[in-house]
Amino acid sequence: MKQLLHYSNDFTSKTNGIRKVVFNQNEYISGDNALYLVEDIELNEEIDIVITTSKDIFNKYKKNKEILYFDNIEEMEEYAIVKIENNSIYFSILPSSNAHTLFFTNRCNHYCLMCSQPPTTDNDDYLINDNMKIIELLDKELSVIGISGGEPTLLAENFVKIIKKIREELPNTYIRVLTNGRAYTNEKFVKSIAEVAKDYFISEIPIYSSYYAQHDYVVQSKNAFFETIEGFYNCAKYGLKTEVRVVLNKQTYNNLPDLMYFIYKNIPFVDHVALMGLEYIGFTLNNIDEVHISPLEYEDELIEAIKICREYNLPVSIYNLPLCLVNENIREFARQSISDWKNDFSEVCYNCDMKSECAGMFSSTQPYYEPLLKSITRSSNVAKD
Amino acid sequence: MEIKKFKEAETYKQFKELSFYSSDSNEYNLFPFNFNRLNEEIVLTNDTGEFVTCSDYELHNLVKKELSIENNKNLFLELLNKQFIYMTRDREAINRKAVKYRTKKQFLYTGAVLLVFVVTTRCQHKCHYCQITPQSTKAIEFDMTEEIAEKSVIIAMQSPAKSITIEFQGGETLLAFNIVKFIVQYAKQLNESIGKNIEFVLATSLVDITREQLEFIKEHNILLSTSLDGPEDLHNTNRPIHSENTYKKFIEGFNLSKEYAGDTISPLLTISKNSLSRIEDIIKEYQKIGKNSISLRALSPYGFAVKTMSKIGYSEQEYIKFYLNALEYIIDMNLDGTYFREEYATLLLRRILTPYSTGYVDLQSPSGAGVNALVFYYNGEIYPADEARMLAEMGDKNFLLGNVSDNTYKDIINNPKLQLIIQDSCAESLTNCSECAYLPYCGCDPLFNYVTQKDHYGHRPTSDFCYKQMSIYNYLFSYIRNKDKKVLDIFWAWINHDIDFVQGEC
Repeated sequence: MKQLLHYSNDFTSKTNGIRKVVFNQNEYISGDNALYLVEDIELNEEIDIVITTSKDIFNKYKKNKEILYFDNIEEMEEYAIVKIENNSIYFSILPSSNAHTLFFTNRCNHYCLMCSQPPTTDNDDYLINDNMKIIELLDKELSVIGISGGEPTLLAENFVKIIKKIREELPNTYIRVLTNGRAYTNEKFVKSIAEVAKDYFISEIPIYSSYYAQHDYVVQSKNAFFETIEGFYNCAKYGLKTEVRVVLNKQTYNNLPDLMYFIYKNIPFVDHVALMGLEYIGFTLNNIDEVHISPLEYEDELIEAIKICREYNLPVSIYNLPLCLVNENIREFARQSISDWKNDFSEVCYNCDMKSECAGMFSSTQPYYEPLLKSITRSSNVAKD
Repeated sequence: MEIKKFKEAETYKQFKELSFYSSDSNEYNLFPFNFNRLNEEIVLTNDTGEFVTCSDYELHNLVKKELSIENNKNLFLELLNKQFIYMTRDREAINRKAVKYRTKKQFLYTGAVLLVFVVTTRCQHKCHYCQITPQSTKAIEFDMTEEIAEKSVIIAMQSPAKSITIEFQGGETLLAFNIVKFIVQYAKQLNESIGKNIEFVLATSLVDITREQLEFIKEHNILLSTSLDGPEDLHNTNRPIHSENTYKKFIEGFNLSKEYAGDTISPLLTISKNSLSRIEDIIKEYQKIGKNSISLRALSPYGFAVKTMSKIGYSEQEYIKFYLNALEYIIDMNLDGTYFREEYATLLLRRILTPYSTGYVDLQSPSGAGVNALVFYYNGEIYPADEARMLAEMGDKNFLLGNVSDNTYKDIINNPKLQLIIQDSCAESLTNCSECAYLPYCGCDPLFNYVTQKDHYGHRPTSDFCYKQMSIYNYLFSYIRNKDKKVLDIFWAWINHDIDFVQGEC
C-alpha cells in the first residue's frame, strides 16, 4: 500500500474495509463496496458511504450517512481501490499506476542483505481477506497483477486460494509472483498452483550466485540455494513459467557470467532472466559496504552476462538502471522497469535525448547514482562529458 | 551524504558472515565421471554432458576429497555446478542431476520419429557409391503398391511420437510420385483423428522434376532433400546418368524447385575419393546455389560401394584427414567473416555445449535404429534403419523386423532382434565406450559394426567409427579446452544458426 490520506473526522467501524472509489453517484459497484466521491450538495439517496472535501456536504449529511471528510484528496483517482482503517485511507490499487501489486504478507523466511522491505514477524493474516476483496474489485481487463511480500508462498494453502480467486475473477490477467521459490520444493503445492493458475502465471525467483554458499549468505539462510533450484525443477515439471532475478550488487557481480552458464546448463527452461539494479532502501543501507557497487564497476561482467544469454538463447533484460550507466552495446536490453511511484530522474536527465526510453532510478537510489549520471546525445548514442 | 538506515534494524537479528554458510565445503561426494588425457591436461566428463579440464594433481585431490573452496575455489565451484561432486548434506542433488540426465536422454521417450518409406528402387542414376541396386526406370514392379503403402502408413501412425517425420526414399522417388502422393494424403487423412505433427521430406535428385509435382510438394509443405556432390565435373563423375550431364539436369531441377520451395531445399554431399582434394570447389559450389551449410558425409560401407572401393573409396585415415582440413578451412572462412556451417560438427557441438537432447538416429546410445526410426521397404518389409534394407539388398536379412501385412508397431518394437540391437548398442555398457570421456556426446551404430566387424558390439581399437569419432572430438575439444573465444563464438553461431553473428562481428 503506497500512500495514505490522513483522516479528518472519525468514521464508524461500518466504513472500514476495502472499497472502490466511484465518481459517478449513479454507478453501482457490486457487493456494496463503493466509496462515492461527492462534491455536489445533492446526494443520491441510495448512497451510504461518501468521501468529500466539502464542509457543506459533510455538515448536511453527517447524521444519516457515513461521510469521510478530507481537506485534500487531489491524489484520489476514479476506481482506485482503497482500504479504510483507523481513520485513514490507504491506496491498494491506483488505476493510473503502471504496476499493480497485491501485498500478501510482510513475513519472510529469507533475510536478504539488500532487502528493500525488511520483513516483520507479526501475524498479518488479515491481508488474506483484504486481498480476496481487492481481487473482486479489480478491473476485469487488467493485463498484469503482481504479487509481492515478504514471501507470498508462506501463505501456503491460502496462497493457492487467492491465486484461484484471481483466476476466477480475472481469467485473462497475467499473474507475476515475486517469490524465493523454496516452497516449490513441495511438489503438491506446485501441482495445486498449476491446477488453479492455468497459463499466464510466472514466478520471479532470485538466484544471486552459482556458488551455493554465496547465495545462502546473500539471503541469510542455509540450504536456500539448493531448495530454490529444486523449486525451479518442480515448476518446470508442472508447466509453471519462471523468471530468474539477479540483483546486481557487490556480492554477486563477479560471479555473473558463471551464474548465466549455470542457469543455461541447469535450468535452461526459464522464460526470462532479469538483471536488476540495486535499490538503496531497507537493509541495503544497513549493509551498504557489503552490497554497494557502482554500475560502472560491474560493466564488464554485465556485458559478458548479456553476451552469454544471447548465445544461449536465454531471454534477458536489465532492470532498474538508467541508460547512461549501461554500456551502449547492451543498452537495448535495458527496460523501463521501475514502478512510477518509485521512479525518479535527476537534473542532468532533462538534457538527455533518451530520457523517454529510460527507467530512471529509484528515488532512493538517486543520491548514489547522481555523480555518475550523464546525458546521452542520440546521434552518437554515447554519454556526453 | 546522509541517508537514514532502516530504523528498526538494531532490534533485528544479526547478519551472519559468508563463512557461516561455506564452512562445510570439504564435505562432498563424487558423482561418476569419465576422463581422457589430452596433452598435459585431463578432460573430465559426466553423463549429463558437462566437462571440466584440470591437471593430474587436481584430479588426485578431487578423488581423495581434498579439494575445497579454500584451496581451489574455481575448480571446486566448477565441479560442483557441473555435478561432478555434490555436498554431502544436499540430499536432493541426485534428483536434480536426474532431471538433467532425463533431458539429455529425452529421445528415449519419444518412440519412432523418423519413418522412412522406400517408395521405389527404380532410378535413372548409376551412382558409383549407390548403396542399393538401382532398377531400370521401367521396372514398376519395384514400386511400393497402394496396398503396402496403406498398411505401412497405419503402422507408422501407431508410433507413440507426437511429432514424426515421414521421409520418402528411393531409388528416385519422383519415378513413383503417385505413391508419394497417396501416402501423404492417406497419412493426413488418418491423422485427422490422431493429431500428430507430421513433417514430410522427399529425398530426390530433382532431375526431371515437374511443375505439377512441385505444386503438390508446395501444397503439402513437403521438404526437399537432394544430392549435390560439388562442381560440375565432380558431380557428373560421382552421379552419372548414361551419357547425360547430370549436373545440368540437377541445376535445372534445383532452380525450378526453388520457385516453389524457396531456400528450404537441403542438398547432401557424399565424399568420394575424387572429392578429397576439392573442398574449396565444393564449398564454392554450395555457396553458388545459395547454401551456407554443408554436411560432409563419408561413403557408407554398404551396397556396391564395397565392390568399387578401389575406384571411389578411401581409408578412414584419409577421410579424417580430409574432414579435419575441411573443418579448419570452414572455421577460417567464418573467422574471415563469411558464415558457413558444417552440420556434423554442429551436431556434436550441440551435444557438447548445450543441455538439450539431440536426436540423430545414427549416433545415439542406445542406437536410434528401430527405437527412433523405422524403414518401410517397397515390398512391405520393415527394417530398423536405411542401411539394414541395403544389407538385405545384398542378401543379408538379419535385421528384418517384420512385414506390414503381418505385424503391428508393437510387434516390431517387441521383436527380440530389435531388443538385442538395443541391448548391444548402449555405449554406457560397451567396452572402451563406457570409460571414454566422449561417451556423453557419442552413440552407437550397431549396423556399421555388423557390416565392418561382424557383430553388433564392434571392437573399438580397430573400429573406423570409433577412430573417426575420437578424432573429431579431440579436434573440437582443442578449441573448447583452450577457450578460443573467436572460434567458440563461431561454434555458437553454428549451433544457433545465427547467420548474422559472424558477419555482424566484421
